[in-house]
Parts: sequence; C-alpha cells; structure tokens
Amino acid sequence: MIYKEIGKVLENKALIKDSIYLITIDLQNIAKEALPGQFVEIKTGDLPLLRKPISIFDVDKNNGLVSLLYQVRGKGTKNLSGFKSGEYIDIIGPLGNGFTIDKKEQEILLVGGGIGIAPLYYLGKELKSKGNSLKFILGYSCKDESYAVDFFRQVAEVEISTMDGSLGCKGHVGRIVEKLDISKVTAIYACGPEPMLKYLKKFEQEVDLELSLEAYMGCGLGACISCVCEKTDGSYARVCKDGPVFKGKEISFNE
Amino acid sequence: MNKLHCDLGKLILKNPVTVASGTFGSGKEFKDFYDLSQLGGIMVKGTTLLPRRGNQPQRLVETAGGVINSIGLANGGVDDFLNNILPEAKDYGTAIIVNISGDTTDDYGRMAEKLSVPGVAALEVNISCPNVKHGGIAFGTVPDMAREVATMVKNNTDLPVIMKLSPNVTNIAEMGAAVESGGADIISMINTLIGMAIDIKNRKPIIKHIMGGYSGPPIKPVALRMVYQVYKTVKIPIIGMGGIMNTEDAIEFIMAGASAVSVGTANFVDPYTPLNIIQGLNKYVEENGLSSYKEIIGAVHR
Repeated sequence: MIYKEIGKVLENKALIKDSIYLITIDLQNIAKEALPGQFVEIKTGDLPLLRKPISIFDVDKNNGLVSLLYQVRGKGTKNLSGFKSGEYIDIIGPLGNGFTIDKKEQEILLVGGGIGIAPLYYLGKELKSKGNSLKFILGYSCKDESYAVDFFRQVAEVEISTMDGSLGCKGHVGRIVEKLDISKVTAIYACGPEPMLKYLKKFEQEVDLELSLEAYMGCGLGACISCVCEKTDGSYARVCKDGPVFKGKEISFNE
Repeated sequence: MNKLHCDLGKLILKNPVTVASGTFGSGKEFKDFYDLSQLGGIMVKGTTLLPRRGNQPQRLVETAGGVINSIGLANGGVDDFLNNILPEAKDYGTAIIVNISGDTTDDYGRMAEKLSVPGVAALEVNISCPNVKHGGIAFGTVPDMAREVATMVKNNTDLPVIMKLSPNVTNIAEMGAAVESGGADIISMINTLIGMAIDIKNRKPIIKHIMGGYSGPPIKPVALRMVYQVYKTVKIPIIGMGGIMNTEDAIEFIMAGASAVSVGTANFVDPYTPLNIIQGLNKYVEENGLSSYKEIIGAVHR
C-alpha cells in the first residue's frame, strides 16, 4: 500500500551544516510497510511544485518512525532542512521496489557513494538480522565531507575511501573493492553516482549485483513515465516504480 | 439529487471532475489512495496504434512553478491497451476515456475503430502530435487538418469524440470551430504549451528532446482565456483544463465556459486534488443555493 501521511517531525539535525541532514518523522503507516531501498516523496513547501524523492535511511517499526538522510541540493531539500521538531510534513510512500532481502548466511558488500549511502543503513540492519555477513564500503569526496559513518559501524565493518585520500583509501570505492577476494562475495548492493554503479557492473556475472538508481521524477508513482532508465534489452524502465533497484545485468547505462 | 451530475451531450459523467491524460497513468497507479469510482472520468495515458518507446531521458523538469515534459507518447500500443489495461480499468466504476494519437489521419481512424468496445466511454483525440504526411506540422495547428481528424474519428466510432485542442496556435476560436464542423461532440482544452528550460552550467537544454509541453499553475490564465474564447464560438460542450489545483480554479474554468474540468499536473503534487475539488464543488453548490453546478457554466458571458 502507498500512503499519503502528514507526519510530525521529531528531529531534523545537521550532520554537516547546510549540507547533510538527518530527519526523523512520525509516519505510522509508511513505517509499517517500508522496505530497504524504498523511498518517499515529500512536499517541502508551496514551491517547488513537485515533491522531492528521498530514500529511506532507517525505520523504527515499533514506534512508527521513518528517518531520512539527505543532502541539500536545491530548493526542495533546502526547504526540508528548515523543518523544525514539532512541525508537520506531507509525505507519500513507501515507493519503489527495494533491494532483495531474502538472503541468509551470505557474504554481502554494501557499497555507497556520497548521499547514496543513505538506503544502505536500513538494508544492512535487515540483512544482518538474517545472519548475513556484511561489509560497508563508503565513498566520500574528503574527510570534512564524510558523515554518518558511526551509524554504519554499529551494524558491520566499514571501509572508507575519499577522492583526496584525507580519510581511508585514496580514490573511489573501486580502490577498496578491487583489493577484496570477490570469489567469497555472493552479492553486492550499491547506491551512488552513476560512474560508481557503472564500475560495479563488471562484477555482474560473479555476484548478485543490485544497483539503486537516481532520476529526476515527476509523480513518483509510475504514472508519468518521466524517470526512465535504459535496460540492456533496449526498453525503458521507470526508476520510480520498476526500480529504483535493478539487477546489474538489467541496466545498460548507455544513455 | 446529484447536483454535480454532468452530461456532455452523449457522454454522461457522475460529476464534472476528470483527470487529464498522461498525469494519471491508467488509474492503477493511483488506486492505493482512493476508490477511483468517485471520479467523473479518467483520461488514460495517450495511446498510439503501435507501441512507442518514447523519448530519451531527461523527460521532465520543473521550471517557474510549472512542469515541462517530453515523454514522447511512450505506451504499449492500442492492442496492449485493449488486452492488458482495459480489462482492469473498465471495472473502476468511472468513465474510461481513451486518449489517442496518430502519425496520419488513417491512424486515428484505425484506432477509433479498434477502441469502439464496451468499457470505453469516449475517445479523446490528441491533435498536438505531428502529421508525418505533412512535413510534421502538428494536426492541431491547422484548422483543416484538425477538422479532417475529427471527421475521420467520427466516421469510425459511435463513441462520443472529444477533440483536445493545442494552445500553440494563433487563433484558438478558429480551431474550436474547425473541430466542431468536423463532427466533434466535445472539446477538451488546453493541451500543454510548448516550452523550454536551459541548464546554464552545461549550456544545454534540460530536456533531452530540447522542447516539451509546459503545464501546471502558470498556464492557467492562458487556458482560461482560451476556454472563454472557444465557448463564445462553439455550441458543443468544453472540458477545461490547464493548471487546475483546487476548487476555485475549477469554478473559474466552469464560469469561463467549461461544462467539466480535468485535473492534470496537480495529481503529481497531491493525488487527492480531484476528490478535494469534487467535495469543494458540492459545497459551493450548496452554499450558493444552486440546483446544479450547471447554473454557473459560462457565467462570465452573461
């Protein structure tokens, strides 16, 4: 079920001022059904007109809470950063398909780049509870722009890369992945910038590769067919409804 | 008695609030929110004779409070509609109005024939697409071509025929008169305005297809003006649309001359908009002591 809920903001704090925020909202219905990798659409103010799609960072099913880790990029996310505890916010969700979580006792890499790390936290918690062995690989631009690492450390081992080498390994996340013994890994789940996802496609034969895509969306419900990505068979799929998570083999990245 | 009962000639709707083609899928995408039988009608996503992949992304962008889209009529084709979409949609309990587009006048005729089946309440004819046999000039910009399409569709169906006018013309009243003389039963208007947005960082159009159709609140004054002009010219009923976000907007269109309205871009912003408008119209009719909303159709002309 998809719900439209007016939820009370419990907390909206900056992890990096004017850039990275973590908001927690009381959303009883959405929390009940949200799966790792799904997203919500948020009405952030009178303008922008369209809702902003934000992926789900964490869900507290017992208390009906949904948390979102987001980056201020434009007017919508700027508005979102201005919401204060106690205010109400209009949200539609949960939307999209989510990652495959019916895995047991497997070796899984969770790879995130930039704000693409957001959906991996709830995903990691769910996969860990099923007895899987996990490792997070998180990529940031530099140490000063790294965030939320402690959340991930509570779930599993974390390795970090930064483009300038100021924290962890220097370079993109591939520098870490290529040093690992991939033969032991059964699945890679990833979300982040397109070059990162393209790089990971080279493992599509060896592991279960699932990639979460980002796209400019209209409705978020699959109706307007705006946010399409090209599949390997040449057809288009809707990122909001058929995704945002796709098997690595399904996506071509040609366009 | 239902004070919102709406008759558009042969097309009877339970209320005058419909949802615009391309903004509501086939209805299925909105089923979780509410019982679709409450709607006056659904103009389903544009259908073509053959399947279409649509344009390359980026297909949509918000600009200046409205939305530009260039989807390129992505759809599974008329057979897919008949086999896979209509069987479910016909049970929604609301009028299913199929929006059709063609490359040639013949395409329109063949589609009208195929779609004349139980479960389809009416055909809405999109004439904003290019006529491939006439150098790609949009059917909806030349009165004779628009008239020809209306006649072709009429000759191939017994369903009510709604001609959807393009606003990208010099004289909208002339277009209205042309489709009326071609046999149209109803006019819906307006389709989107052709627009553009530029990414100044990359020095490129944001929409891959360069231009797209502009919709949303900023086009409302243009749409309202055109409904006003066409109402003066034609005798057939008008379904008004263009930036309708709330009850007041809908009432403006009705007063300008629309017998029904369509909610488009607002469905992306708040899926409940059509229901809010139905409720708002009921309240308006009660508060103003009207026996039917029809009393205010074209009110500004009197």
